[in-house]
Amino acid sequence: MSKHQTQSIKTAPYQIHTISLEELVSGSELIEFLRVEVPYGEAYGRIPFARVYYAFNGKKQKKAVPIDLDKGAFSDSSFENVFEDETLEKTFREIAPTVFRNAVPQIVEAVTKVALSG
Amino acid sequence: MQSTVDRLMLHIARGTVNSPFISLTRSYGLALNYANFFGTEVPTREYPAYVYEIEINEPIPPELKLLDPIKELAPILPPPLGGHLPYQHDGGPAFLLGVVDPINMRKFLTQHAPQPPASAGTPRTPNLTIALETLVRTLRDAEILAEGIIPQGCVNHQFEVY
Repeated sequence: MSKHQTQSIKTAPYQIHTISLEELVSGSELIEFLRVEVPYGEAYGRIPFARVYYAFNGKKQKKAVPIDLDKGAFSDSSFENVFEDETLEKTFREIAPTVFRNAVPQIVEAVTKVALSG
Repeated sequence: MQSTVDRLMLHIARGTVNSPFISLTRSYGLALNYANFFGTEVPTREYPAYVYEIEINEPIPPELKLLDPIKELAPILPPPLGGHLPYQHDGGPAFLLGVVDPINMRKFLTQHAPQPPASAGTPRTPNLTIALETLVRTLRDAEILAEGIIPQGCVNHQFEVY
């Protein structure tokens, strides 16, 4: 049995750059890309992560899919346990990983364009 | 799932989670960044993200194996005169900056590889192998891989991050 100690850490403040992805064509009519939020802040130097927000089956989702921009890879675990409804969960798990992976070049391109424009 | 160096490279360089490895980092700062920015939601005081500090002492528990990715990869890298594609790039001195930061330093990643005047050939970007990417990403993340089960008793601290 673990007897670890718990401590709260309030991290340094940061800002978020929001980039619209509404022009990005999704590979599925069930998934619509909305925006990518890129954090930045002086205390952090470079942050290679961002969150991609989307709508599924016409409904905007509160949770995002995080992406590692250096690797061009999503956190695959964020495609699991998204919906309580079993059918939605099954459908999402089947299609989302591929749809998101196929969109990586355009998402990275959108973030790069904004980053390079200062 | 069997542990192979190919799977190790895919895990580190491509973020493939269908692998036998668990990523650990020697760096609290790295763990903090992952917790803060690589979750599905922005962490809050009510719903924080977590960083776990674990301590594993010798002898390592039998159900656990720890791997230094650099050491695992080094033996399979081709020798200096090897016939295979070398892991070294053939770009300019700034090329590696582009590999490290492909967003902000993209121009170094996409510049053509300089060629001797008499052997120009088709203009192309420098060679970039998954082995080199793995080396770079391992160092970025101060990464150690675990294979197996990390005993609960190894957890020293749980940091609630928000």
